[in-house]
Amino acid sequence: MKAIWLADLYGSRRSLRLFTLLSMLFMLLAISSAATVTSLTFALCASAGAGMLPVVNLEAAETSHWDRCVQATPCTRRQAVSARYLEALAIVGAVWAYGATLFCAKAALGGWTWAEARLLTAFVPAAGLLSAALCLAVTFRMGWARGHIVFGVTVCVVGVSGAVTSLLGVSDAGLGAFAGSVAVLALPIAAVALFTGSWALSVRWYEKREL
Amino acid sequence: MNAIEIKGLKKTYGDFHLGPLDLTLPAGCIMGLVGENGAGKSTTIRALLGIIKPDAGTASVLGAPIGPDMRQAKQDMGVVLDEVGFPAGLRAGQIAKIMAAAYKNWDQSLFEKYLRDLDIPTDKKFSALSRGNRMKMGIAAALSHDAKLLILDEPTGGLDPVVRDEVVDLFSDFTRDPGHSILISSHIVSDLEKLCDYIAFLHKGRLLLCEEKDRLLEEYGILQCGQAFLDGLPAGAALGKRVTPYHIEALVRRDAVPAGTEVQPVTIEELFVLLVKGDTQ
Repeated sequence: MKAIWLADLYGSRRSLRLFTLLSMLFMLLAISSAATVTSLTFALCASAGAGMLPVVNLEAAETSHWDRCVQATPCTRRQAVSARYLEALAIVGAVWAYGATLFCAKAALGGWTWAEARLLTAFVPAAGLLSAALCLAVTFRMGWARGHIVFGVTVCVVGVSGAVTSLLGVSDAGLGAFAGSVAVLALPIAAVALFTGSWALSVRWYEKREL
Repeated sequence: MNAIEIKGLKKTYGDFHLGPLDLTLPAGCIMGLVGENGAGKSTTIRALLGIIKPDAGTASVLGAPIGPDMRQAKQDMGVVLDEVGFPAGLRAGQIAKIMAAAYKNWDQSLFEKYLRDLDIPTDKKFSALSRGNRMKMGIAAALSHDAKLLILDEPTGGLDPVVRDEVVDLFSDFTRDPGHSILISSHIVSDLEKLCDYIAFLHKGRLLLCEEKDRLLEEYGILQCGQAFLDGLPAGAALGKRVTPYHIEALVRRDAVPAGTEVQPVTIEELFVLLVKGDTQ
């Protein structure tokens, strides 16, 4: 598995820099926004975008035939899948840690209530894990040629999530009520469960797929 | 122990049918898979590596049945695929680190020696290398982790004749160890003629022939004659023919032609071409 990580790390340096910069930018926009709904939108963009980095790595592996070459080495398909899911966990975890620090700092300085900070802190890993879970599973099942359609749709959905929340009529008051409920804690737990399920499905699908 | 055993292997892609294929590569031997483009050479190799799943049949490599759990066997295998697929942006040093992480017996100094000997640029990204240099990089990596079996899919494709000769010598050196084996596919038959102990001919997914090379050269020959003489030969004596403006060149079994008939030696390339023509006719 280390071989796959190293290859992804060396191969995706440029994408990693770009994704990190974009995530940092979106997180800064999130804490500088006046409305909580807008903050949430920017935070989701940061996290969901970061969760897609392993999908970009998978694309690079397929287009360069590295995915086939890996099958000639002692690395197993389960390892190839697990490596990308662990990459997603690592980068979403890093974005979450960075975001949570900023949210807590803003709450400590009185810019937000602690409930608002908790809400964003719960949403960030959930969005990242869900976008990774969806895109990785589809790409492992059908290959990048079809997986990139789902990738594109996810990018569009995340990109227009601000408009979606407006259309759905989500308001700061509504978010505040949600933030105070126990349901907010269920979000990251549900995301982790879906992420784990996606990993299990991807292993099964990828082991059957012809490369 | 046999290095590779294939029994009844079948695979279908649309109109293409491979097999049923039965092949055995004894340990310490070199087998050449010869066939035209689309004959099934790469499909056979991909099935052996678990990259694709056969529809029927069984196979084992270094005693391990093909399937998801070939990790130990793959430690002992050096593989060069027709498309050497290292990640595009990597340089030789990074490729070495990845291979060192994958193989327990990775020998960094040996890899560096091959890079020097084969004159592979180490400062260029893999995607910036020519096809020949990419292939050489793949060969250097396959030879640098103390493999017992090399599986090579068109490894000399894209190489100039001088480098091809060097590479064939490298493979010959590899098999000086009696436990080392090679399965090599190519349509550059002259390379295989130099190297192989066994030759397997694939044509349109079917195995036409699999024999020891020396026995093939002993058993078959080229007969130059007219059509009437050819028609007088026993059934099965002639396996294929090439008609020239002056005479017919027929591939014949030496033991099936009348005693005293002058039969010329055949090269593996002629044998392959005439067998394929015979199959088509």
